Amino acid sequence: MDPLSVKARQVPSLVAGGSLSAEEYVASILERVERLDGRIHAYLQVDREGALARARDVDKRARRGERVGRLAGLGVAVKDNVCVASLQATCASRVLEGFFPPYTATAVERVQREDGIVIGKTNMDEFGMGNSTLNSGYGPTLNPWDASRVPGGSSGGSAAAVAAGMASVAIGSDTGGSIRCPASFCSVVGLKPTYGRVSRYGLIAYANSLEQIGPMGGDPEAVSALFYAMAGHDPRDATTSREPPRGRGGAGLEGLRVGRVREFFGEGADPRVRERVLDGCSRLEGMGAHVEDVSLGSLPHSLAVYYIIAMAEASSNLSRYDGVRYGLPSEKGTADWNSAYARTRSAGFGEEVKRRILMGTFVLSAGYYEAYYVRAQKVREIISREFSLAFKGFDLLVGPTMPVLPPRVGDEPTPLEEYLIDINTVAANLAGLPAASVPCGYEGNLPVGMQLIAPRFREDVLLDAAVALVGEGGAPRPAEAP
Amino acid sequence: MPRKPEPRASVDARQVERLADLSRLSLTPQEAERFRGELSTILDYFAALDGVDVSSAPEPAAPEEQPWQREDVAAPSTPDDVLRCVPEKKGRYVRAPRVF
Amino acid sequence: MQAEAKVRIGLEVHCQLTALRTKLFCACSSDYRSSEPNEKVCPVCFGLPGTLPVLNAKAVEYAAMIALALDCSVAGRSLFYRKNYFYPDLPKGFQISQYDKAGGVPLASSGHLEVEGKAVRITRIQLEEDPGKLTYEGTIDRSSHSLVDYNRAGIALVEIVTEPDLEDARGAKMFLEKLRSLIESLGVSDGELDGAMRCDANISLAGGARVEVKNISSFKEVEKALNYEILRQRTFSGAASSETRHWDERRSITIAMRSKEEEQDYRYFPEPDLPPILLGAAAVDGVRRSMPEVADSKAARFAREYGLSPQLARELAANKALSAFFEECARLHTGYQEMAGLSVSELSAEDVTGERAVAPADYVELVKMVESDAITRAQAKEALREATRTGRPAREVVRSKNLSAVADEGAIAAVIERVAAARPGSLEEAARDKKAFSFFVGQVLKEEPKAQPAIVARLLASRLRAKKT
Repeated sequence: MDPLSVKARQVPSLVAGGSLSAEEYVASILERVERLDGRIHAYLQVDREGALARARDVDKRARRGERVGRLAGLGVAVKDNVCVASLQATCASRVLEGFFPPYTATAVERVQREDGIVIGKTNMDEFGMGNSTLNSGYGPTLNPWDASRVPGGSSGGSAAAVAAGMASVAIGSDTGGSIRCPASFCSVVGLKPTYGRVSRYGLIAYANSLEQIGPMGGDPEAVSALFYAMAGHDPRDATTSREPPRGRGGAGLEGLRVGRVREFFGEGADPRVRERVLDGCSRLEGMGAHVEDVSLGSLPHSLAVYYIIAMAEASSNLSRYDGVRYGLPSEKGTADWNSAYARTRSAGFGEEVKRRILMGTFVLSAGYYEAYYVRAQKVREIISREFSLAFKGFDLLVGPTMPVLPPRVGDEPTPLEEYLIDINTVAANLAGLPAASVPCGYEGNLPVGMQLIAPRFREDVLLDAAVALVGEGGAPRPAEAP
Repeated sequence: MPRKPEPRASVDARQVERLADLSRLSLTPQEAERFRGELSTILDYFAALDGVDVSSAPEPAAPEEQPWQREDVAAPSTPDDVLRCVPEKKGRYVRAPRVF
Repeated sequence: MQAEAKVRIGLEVHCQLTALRTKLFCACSSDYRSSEPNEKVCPVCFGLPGTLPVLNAKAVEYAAMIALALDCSVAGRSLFYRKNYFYPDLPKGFQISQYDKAGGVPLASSGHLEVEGKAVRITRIQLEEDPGKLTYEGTIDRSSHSLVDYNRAGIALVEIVTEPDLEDARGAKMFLEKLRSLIESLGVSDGELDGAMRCDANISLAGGARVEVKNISSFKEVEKALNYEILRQRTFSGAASSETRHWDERRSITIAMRSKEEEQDYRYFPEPDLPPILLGAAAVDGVRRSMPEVADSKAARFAREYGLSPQLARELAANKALSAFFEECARLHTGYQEMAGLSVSELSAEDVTGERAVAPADYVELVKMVESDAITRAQAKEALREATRTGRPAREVVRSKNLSAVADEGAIAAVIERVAAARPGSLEEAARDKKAFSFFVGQVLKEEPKAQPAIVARLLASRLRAKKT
């Protein structure tokens, strides 16, 4: 069969009703992976046998008339920094080679409880540090829309997998845009939930105070189902909220107050991207939303604030990779521990990771902590307050997800140039707000995404808007991946 | 009133060495020199925050819920699970490089 | 001779909350001392990537108890911070701790503990996790690898930091002993357990630099380490530089740490995975109500409620088991002073808690016999000794041994005359001098142990008056 002939949102009910075999459906996804992934390289690891066994189990229960879960049969691609017991978790880093976590992330556990089927682990920028998926210790992922372009990152493997039909939906993580950036570049829907909405237990940390696990996919209804399966309090993550997730109203956009954020359309934005997103805004108006311009003056500071905080937390989080307890074995021989640690870490980490560790160490070190870290936290509070005020007048804030079209694989931006294209996505992480990227047009065959930001815990508004914007048919597929 | 920006020195080679030391990374001279330049550029960019008036920054919001804590109830440990991850063991001990 | 420079000592005490069933941030059992290496470990305390800490609520309660017992003010909102450093016994490459600088707020601060009438100020109290334990393959000097046991990693520690208010090694030891007994009386830690209480010290001589001595594994070692370090600084007077030294237990000397370890920069910052600890006034009151009474306030209450002398009240309050025993007896009888005095002089904790424990009702009856002069105090003591040795009720011992006071004043008067005859001039001395009077009474009691001391004293006094006239 062709997995693309079924809409992802219909798979669970078809499987439950017995008119679609989960095994056949999953096998057809695996067949596409085999055919396409040699070129795209979305996956670091495919769990063929495990996926088929679980699919057979779902079919068996469906045949017996037993209850099957709300994600029954959906093939789920899981970013490699999200732990699944018995599958290697490397975060695309050499330093974690050979690490098989003995536990499954709470979010994945909940997906599996609803009979979602893990297809495999997807490629990413090492430890989530990047927006291209070029910073992988295991080779880059290419954009299914144009193999000469990057898929975005850091959840580039997850985005490419769903865009190319190598998974029904995908799980990503977003620290400063890592779900929304590749969703935008690969023309899929990606949602970063409110901080504290989805458990981070089992998510290998890059910057704990900023990141969330979230759903991605071409069919916004399936993305919504995946989100609700993962959301909710987890006793293993003290930062999750005990407030139950808010269900969707399912209403249209009639009367929705939408703020078009001036700073998101700023000078760094490619005019072609700006045009497509303005088109998207017009479509929102066409559906009954009131669109108005709004300015959040502190947004231009968000990038510096984000990188200071993210690098600080990263430098600390990545201290545990010393080769003693797991991962790349520490250097053999009888070197003393200081030099053995330094050798293991230098061999295991890629260049961008080292850069961020050094930077993070710098901003936390004596004499600089106040000037960088403390100051950044204060500006972060200012940004949060500005969002709170803006949401007194608006239900949704919008702008381009990325200020540029997907960069070419061969471009060699300086580190700072690469950081700069995160300018629109990082603010939602700083303020802990839910944000989504929704496909809103094409420049040639290159996708453009629109970012939607909602008040805390209002994922329902984002998902309703995504469904309205994308429409019944789901997001278009790249021509190159039939 | 805008704050007067604090003067900032760019990163020198000794600082890079110290940072590498603190974070247990060994860098080749070429790497060290490249990072020195890149770090300086990035810090220059961060210096934009010096112009932000943070005197009016709000205190972090009070938590919306009572912080989540655990009861003091033991669950079985899982030594086999974690020891399976260890690259080098000696008996039940984890083998690490020498510290003297 | 030149006057010796004044010494100032501050202590940092690390105390495991051994009464907890689990570690600070995971549900592993805290009972690791009899375990095989790496038996009490899980993904969280082993620092596997993707895991998160979740705070043990009981640890907060116990730490707050210690803070209140030390008269500290408890922070309404305190924070966990990461202390970043590398070491093979530290699973995450940072220790989750608390901090009082860089915007940090420790659990409690500004308390004191009185030792021999002098207040030692407590700077702060904080919660943190213990690291694992390192051993060596082969001998320390010729070891090619180290071996790590992470059983201890994640055990809840309370760190208690004092101001430099102590003046000598003996004072430091007294402080630590009092602190230990205070913490034990709260029931949150058993300081006797190996490594449950450890301490670092900072020592400075007036005009000299501050030297830190780390790695003092038990209180026994503290006095030795401090005395060594004070002597070292006096000997090399002027040469003490601000530095960190290690106490080498085996050689009983302090050694300077290598400069690399000294140049630490811990890069403290807030732990993003843990929400703040909130302890509002109501929560602190709750902790206060649930706290067992500590010795000092108990002594004050004993003096107030039962009219015990301050000395007796202190001695009684210092012994938890005897205090409880006394209070049970006090419900049955009001002869507080006699009951307290006899318990403190004759009973130990085992005598009132063990298998052959004296029953409060039995003890009260015995005290009543003393009060009514039916038996002497000496006889009561004898009965108690026998009772605690055999487990028989004291009253039965009194009966079976036929213990009773001699009430016949004529018989006692006769003994007085016998003693006077044996020591010519002793009556005259007793009349002149109070000490000699007491000595005379003692001699009479030696001859006749069943005599009541009060009766002997009365009869002797009237005998002396008779002699004068």
